[in-house]
Amino acid sequence: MSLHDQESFLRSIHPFELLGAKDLQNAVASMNIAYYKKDTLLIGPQKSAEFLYIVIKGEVGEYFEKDLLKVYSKSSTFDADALIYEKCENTFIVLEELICFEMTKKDFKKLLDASNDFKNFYIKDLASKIQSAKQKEYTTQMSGFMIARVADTYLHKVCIVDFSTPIMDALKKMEEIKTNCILVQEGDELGIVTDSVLRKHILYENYDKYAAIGPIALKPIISIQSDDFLFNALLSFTKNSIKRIIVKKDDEVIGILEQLDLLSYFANHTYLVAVQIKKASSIEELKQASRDFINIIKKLHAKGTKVEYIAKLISELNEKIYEKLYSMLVPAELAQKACLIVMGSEGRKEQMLKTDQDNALIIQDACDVALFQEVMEQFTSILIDFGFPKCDGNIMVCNPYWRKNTSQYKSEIARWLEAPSGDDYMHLAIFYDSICVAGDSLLLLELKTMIYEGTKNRSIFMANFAKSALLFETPIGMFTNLIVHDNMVDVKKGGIFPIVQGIRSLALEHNITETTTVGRIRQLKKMKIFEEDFSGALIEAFDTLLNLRLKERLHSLEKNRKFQNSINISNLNQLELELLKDSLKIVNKFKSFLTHHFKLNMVG
Amino acid sequence: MIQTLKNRWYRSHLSDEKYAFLYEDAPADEFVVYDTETTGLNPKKDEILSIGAVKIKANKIITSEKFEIFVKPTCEISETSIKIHQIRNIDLQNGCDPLDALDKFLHFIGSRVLVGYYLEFDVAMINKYLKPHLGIKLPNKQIEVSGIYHDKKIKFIPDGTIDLRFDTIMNDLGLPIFGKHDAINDAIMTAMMYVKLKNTPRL
Repeated sequence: MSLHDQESFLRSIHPFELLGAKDLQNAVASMNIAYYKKDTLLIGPQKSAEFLYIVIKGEVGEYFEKDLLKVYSKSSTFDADALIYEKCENTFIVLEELICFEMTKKDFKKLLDASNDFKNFYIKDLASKIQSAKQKEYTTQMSGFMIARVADTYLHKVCIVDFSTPIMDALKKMEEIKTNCILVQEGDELGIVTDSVLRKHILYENYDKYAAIGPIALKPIISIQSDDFLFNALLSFTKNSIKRIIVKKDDEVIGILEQLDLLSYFANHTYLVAVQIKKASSIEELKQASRDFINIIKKLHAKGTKVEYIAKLISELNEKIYEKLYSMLVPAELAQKACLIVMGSEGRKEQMLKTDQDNALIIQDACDVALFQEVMEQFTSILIDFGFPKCDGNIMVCNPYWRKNTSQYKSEIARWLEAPSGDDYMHLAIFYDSICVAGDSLLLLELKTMIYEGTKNRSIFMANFAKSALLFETPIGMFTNLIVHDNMVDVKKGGIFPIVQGIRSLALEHNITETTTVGRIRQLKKMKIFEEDFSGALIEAFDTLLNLRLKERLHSLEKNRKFQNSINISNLNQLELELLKDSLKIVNKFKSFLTHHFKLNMVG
Repeated sequence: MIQTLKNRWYRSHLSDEKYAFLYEDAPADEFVVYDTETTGLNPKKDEILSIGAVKIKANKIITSEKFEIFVKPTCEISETSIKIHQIRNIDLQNGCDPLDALDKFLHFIGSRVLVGYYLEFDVAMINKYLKPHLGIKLPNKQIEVSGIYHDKKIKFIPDGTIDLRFDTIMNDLGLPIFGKHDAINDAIMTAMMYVKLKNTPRL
C-alpha cells in the first residue's frame, strides 16, 4: 500500500477527512502496519496505550470487566481516550486476528493540535457530542428572536425632566407616568437617574432631596435605535453591564428598554398568540387564531427556530385552542360536569406538527351522557375544520366509546386490566398519557388512580404491557453499523417507540403522574430506578431521535410530502449520523434493562 | 552449511570493505521484504526500474521507514513492460543511477533476512548489479513466502496442485489487497503474507 493508498484509506475514516492534506501526509508517513493474533491484549488498565489503532482487517473487542462493550472492525479507530487521558479502564482484546495501522501517541496528539474539528471529535463523549450539536441548533434557535427589532418589544414610557427640577418633583412625575427611571435634560445632553443613583446620593451621601436633580444624573446615557436588532440591545446590556437602555428614533427618545423585558420577550414569544386565542369571541376568530399560529410556526421554522421549541409551542397552543373551543361550545352549566382530555402524544406533549386528534370526554355519573352527544360531534368537526386531522383509530370525542361517564370508563378500564385483548393495551397506554385540557380535572384523576391501583403487583400484566417496547429491532448492527433500507431508518419503531413505551411501563409501575417521557425519566431517576448517567443518556437519545424526526418532517412539510417516521440518512451530516448511532446504542441498552426489569424473557 | 561456506568464499571476494556490514550477524526477528519492477523477466538482459522494500520487526511492518527508489535504466523501456508495471520512461527521468540505488538498498537491508515472493528473481536482479560492482552476491538468508505457503498447504492436500499466484495467496490468507501492484505495495503485501504465515500454524 503506497503512501497515496494509505492516505486515501485514512481519509475515508471519520474524522480523518477533517485534517489538512499536509497533516494527513505526515500522519501517514509515520504509521506502521501491525499484525496481532486472536486474544492479544492491546490496551488495558495494566497495559497503557502507545498507539492509536486503525483497523485494516480483523476485529477488536472493548471490554469492561467481562462485558463486551463494543467491537471495532475495519476502519474503526481506538482508543483515543486512552491516549488523551493516558489511562484506560477498559481492555481491548483482539477477537479476530488483526492487521492494523499504528499511529504513535505523539503523532496522534500532533494531529489533535493541528485541527480543532478533529480534536473535538475525539475529546468529547456522547453527552458533550450532543451538546455541541445542540449548541449549533441553539444558535439558530436564537436567530428567530434575534432578527426581531427593538421596537417589537415592550418599551417603557420616558419621564424627562429639566436639569434644575427638584428631585422630589421629578420622582412624582415619574410615578405619574408609571415608569421607573428619570431622564434629565441638560442642553442637548441627557443624563439618567435610576433607583440605584438615588439610593447612592440621597441615602448614603445625604444629598438634599429637594435640590436640583441635574448634578446626580449619570452621563452619558447609552442608547439604541428603535429599528436596531434586539440582539444588539442584548449585547449592549452585557457589555456595559446596565439594566436599561434608551431607545431612540433618530434623535428623539421614544422609550426605555429594560433588560427584564428583553429577557421575558425571549421567554414568552408564544404569549401573543395565546392572547389571540384567549380573546377570540367567535369560532371564526378562533379558527383565524389557529391558522395564524400555524403560520407563525412556519415562519419560526423558516427563521431556523429549534424544532423542539416548535413542538412545545404546538402542544401549548393546541391545548389553549381545545380549552377555548370547549368553553365556547359546551353550555356553561355542563362545562364542569365533564372533563376533556387529550391522550397519547398530545398528552405527552410530544406532538409533532399537525398530528391526529386523540381526545376523549369523561362525564360525571350524575349527568346524562346524551347531553354531550351533539356538542361533541360538533367539537370534532370544528377541529377537523381548523386543520387538526381526523384520528384513523377514531379516538375522538365524537365516538361514543371515548365519550362516557365515569362508571362506564371504570368498567372498561377494569376490562383492560383483567382481560386485555386487541387494542386494549394501546388504549390503556394512551389513556395513561392523557392530560385534562378543559372541564373538571378530578374526573380524570379518579380514573388514573384506578389504573394505579389496578396495576399494583400485577407483574405478568406489566410484563405484557411493557413487552411491546421490544417489538421492533433496533436498526443497529453488532458493530454499530446502521441497518438501513433504501437509505431510510425508521426512528419511530427503531427508537422513539421503544423509549416511550418502556418509560411508560416503568412510570405506570411506579405510579408516576407525569405524562411527558422526559419528565417520567427524571422521576424514575429520582426514585433511583436508573443510574444518573443512564437517565441523562436516555434523555439525550430520545431528544436526538425526536429532533431528527422533526427535522425530516419539516423537510417533508416544505416539499408537501406526507409525514413519515423514517429519516433519510443521506440527509444527515457526519455528526448527526454519529448521534443517531449513539442514540440507538442507548436504545439497545435500555431494551436490555427492560428485559431484565420486567423479566420479559419469561413472557411469550 | 554449504551456504555458510559459499558466503565465506564470497566474503573474501568483497572488493569494498565499506560493505562488510552485510556479513555481520543479522538482528534478531528482523526481516526485509522487497520487490523489484524490471524491464522484463530475464535477469541477464533486463534492468531494474524500481525497488520497494519494507522492514518487519517481530509482527510489525515498519511502513514508517519504507524504502522506495526509482532507477534510471540505460535503455528505453519497451512498450510491453510499460503496460505491465505502468512505469513510463518519463517517470524515471529523475530516477537515480543503478549503483546509487544499489548502495542505498544495501544499507537499508544490512544483514537482515530477506523475504519475498519469487524472491529468487529479485535476488538475481540485485546480484546482476552487485556481482560486477562488488564481486559478491547477496549473502543474506532468504525466505520465500510462496514456499512457506506451499508447504503449509500441501500437508492438507498432498496430491493437489497449489495455486501460488500472488492474489490467490492474498485471498486465501484473507488479506486485503491495497492499491496497485508496484514495488512498494507488493513488498508491503508480501510482508503481510509473511507475518500472517509466520503466525498461522496450519492453513
